[in-house]
Amino acid sequence: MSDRIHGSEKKVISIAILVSAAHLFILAAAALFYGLTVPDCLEGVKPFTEGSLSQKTDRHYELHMVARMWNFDPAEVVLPVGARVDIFVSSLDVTHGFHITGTNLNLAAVPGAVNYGRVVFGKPGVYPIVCNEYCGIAHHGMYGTIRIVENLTAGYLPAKKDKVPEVASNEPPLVTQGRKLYHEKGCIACHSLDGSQVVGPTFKGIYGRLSYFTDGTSIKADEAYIQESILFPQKKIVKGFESVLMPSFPVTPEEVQGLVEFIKSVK
Amino acid sequence: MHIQPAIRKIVLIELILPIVLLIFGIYHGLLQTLYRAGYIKVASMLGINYYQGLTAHGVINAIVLTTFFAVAFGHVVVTSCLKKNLHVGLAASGFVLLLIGTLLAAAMIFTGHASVLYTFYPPLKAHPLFYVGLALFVVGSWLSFYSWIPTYRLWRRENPTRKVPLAVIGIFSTFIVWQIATVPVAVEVLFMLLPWSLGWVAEINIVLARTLFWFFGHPLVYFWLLPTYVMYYTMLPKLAGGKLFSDFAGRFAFLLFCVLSAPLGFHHQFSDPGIGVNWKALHTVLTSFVAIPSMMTAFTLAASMEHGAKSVGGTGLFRWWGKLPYMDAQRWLFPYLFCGLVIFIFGGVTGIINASFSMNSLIHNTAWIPAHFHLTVGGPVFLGILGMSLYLVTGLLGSDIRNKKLALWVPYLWTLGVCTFSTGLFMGGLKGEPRRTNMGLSYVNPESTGFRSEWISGASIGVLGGVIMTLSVCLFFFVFFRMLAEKKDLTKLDSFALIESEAYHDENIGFVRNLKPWIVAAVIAVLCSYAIPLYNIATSKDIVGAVPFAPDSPMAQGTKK
Repeated sequence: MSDRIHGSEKKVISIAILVSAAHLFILAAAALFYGLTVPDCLEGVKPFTEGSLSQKTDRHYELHMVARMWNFDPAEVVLPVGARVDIFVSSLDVTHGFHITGTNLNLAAVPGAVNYGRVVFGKPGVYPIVCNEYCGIAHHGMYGTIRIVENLTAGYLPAKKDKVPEVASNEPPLVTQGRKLYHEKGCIACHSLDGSQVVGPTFKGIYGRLSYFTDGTSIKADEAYIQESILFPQKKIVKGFESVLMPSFPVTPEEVQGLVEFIKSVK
Repeated sequence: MHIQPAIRKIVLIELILPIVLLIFGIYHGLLQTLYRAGYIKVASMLGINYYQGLTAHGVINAIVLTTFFAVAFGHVVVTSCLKKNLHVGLAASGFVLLLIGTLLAAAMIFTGHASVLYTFYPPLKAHPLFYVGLALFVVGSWLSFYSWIPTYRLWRRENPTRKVPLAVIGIFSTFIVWQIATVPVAVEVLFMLLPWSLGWVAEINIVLARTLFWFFGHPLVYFWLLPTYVMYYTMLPKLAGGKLFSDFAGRFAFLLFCVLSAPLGFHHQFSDPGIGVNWKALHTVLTSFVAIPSMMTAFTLAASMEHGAKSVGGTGLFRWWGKLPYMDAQRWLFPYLFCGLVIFIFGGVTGIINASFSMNSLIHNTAWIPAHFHLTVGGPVFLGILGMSLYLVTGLLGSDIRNKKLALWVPYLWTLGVCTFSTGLFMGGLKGEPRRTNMGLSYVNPESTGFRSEWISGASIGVLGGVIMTLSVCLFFFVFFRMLAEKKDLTKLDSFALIESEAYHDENIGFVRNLKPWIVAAVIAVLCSYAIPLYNIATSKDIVGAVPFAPDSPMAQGTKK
């Protein structure tokens, strides 16, 4: 029995330490000289509930991105080539991921906290945004887009999917109530108003339209059908939406009436 | 083999039960590759939703199988290496709690009340009984571990001058790592998730919950790995026909893992908000120290195998590799360990990328991550568990393996499968393909607005790998269940023994003789790296509490008007 460590083992330990030190040195250099780092603790930034884009200087933008079950707000961002974007990300419900594929921006969107990262978009093209953290049964449908365009004077958000349309002054009070509930109850997460398909069918023009169901039947959507779909969403399932089942929401009869009137008004 | 009849029964159930559950775990593994490549474009198959099956796949394969195995293997190692009895009361109550915990969690998962994946990140909320099941499971593993402590102490008192057998040091290190790791997750489950899921508290701090989870989550991976390290250090050299090159290296590696496995969980949270960048950098540095036990192990095991190969006529710098018992049916356990080591080279290299600070943002939460950990927990760990379960159950039952040649092929086929699978997922991950996603419904579905054609090739290679992996495990099931059905001869139990390698260099080094100073060092390391950030997260004014959500509804729970 020897009291000494074998020379080969000593050599291996020394090599391991040297290699690790070199590796750490490279990472430190990348962080210090090239700014390649990871998200830090943000102080004094409160979580926000609405997405927005603002232009700070010519090429410098600030994007507030809200993640929610199961879409991004804004879902689409258009920016000029060379835009340098400070991106703040928060979540309204559960933990989501926010990965702009093709860039190094890959952030966790955590409810109750704000995350931050910066991207410079040097090349024109489409940069898809992917939610890469499991966030519930429709997680696979949660994505967005950043489009980088040449010869664009200023970035903008094309028709935010969940944008509240201007309220007409002569709107019936029931419709106004329904519009409020549409946002409050979270219908907005799955049913768009502008014809785009998010998780469930769009509300645009749904009233009076022929709907086809998985059991082979069809119906021209009337008040009774809309009411039934709110109260018992599993009764008739529209073809193409078998994969995501809408849950029942606790609503009063007055609220249902408001929602029906509001859905009828979305043309 | 020295083993009490009660312990023998407990060990047998603890080994066989998870292998039965594995049938579902593997089934849904294969199914996931099909969903992800778009061969299945639905939300559910046979009544099991994709995410529900994914939860079961993670819980069964990575928690139930690994923990039951570590406990059972530990029972055998401690009792047979020290030739002493274990505390049956503790071992039995530990087993009962492990069983109840498993049944509760499984019931919640299969009835669709816990589709929250095995990381159960809040504010996605599972049924309270799911959390109760997890807590009982963890306590069960603790009690099982405590059943060895009186045995260990008695042996030390009776043998004050002898070194504790290396396998015992290894398995104790495994459970010291587990003990340290499970305290924060117990705090998360018992004091945060459980009262919150019951509605007793309205909101919880999500950043804190995630930090406590990963405080557990990284040492968890070493808890998976260390039982296989015990096999590598104490069995592989003898299976290769040689001796362990250095007994010191084994001891030092195990004790280093005790200290180095816990204080570095932030490398799973590089993308998280609410944690200071300097703390993330500190955890990066601490992570890299794991290079020392890893490279030492790589060298020592290669040197041990070289000793084995050269004692049967192997020569040269590399030619001796040809002399190892790759196809020797009598030593069918050798390829289970050897293939695991080969796979682990790639698992280790890709792990360095994950843990490398800014480099992480390229692959964080992409398909790259499951590709990586199928080469670690799905490589050396899984093959070690399969091989050793077959070896132990055969021996403890006094049974016989009818198809040793077939058993021999399992690890080779698995290696081919898992490397193919991971290659596909690495390709997709580098192009941004997300993990944990039912891609057949969106990204690989040409009818979807989110269609991404560039992810199809990687996902399809994943299917090929998944099919080969499934074939390999089916082969294993055949060998295993056929062995269970063989005629048993209990008199064989006396001659059954664990494989124990001799040491080629049997050093007597003072600082690796005692566990205590290493446990103290581990606690100090954890305090230094976690105390301040945890305090900052818990008291931050910039973090707002979060209310629970069910995975199938965008409506917050507990806010009914």
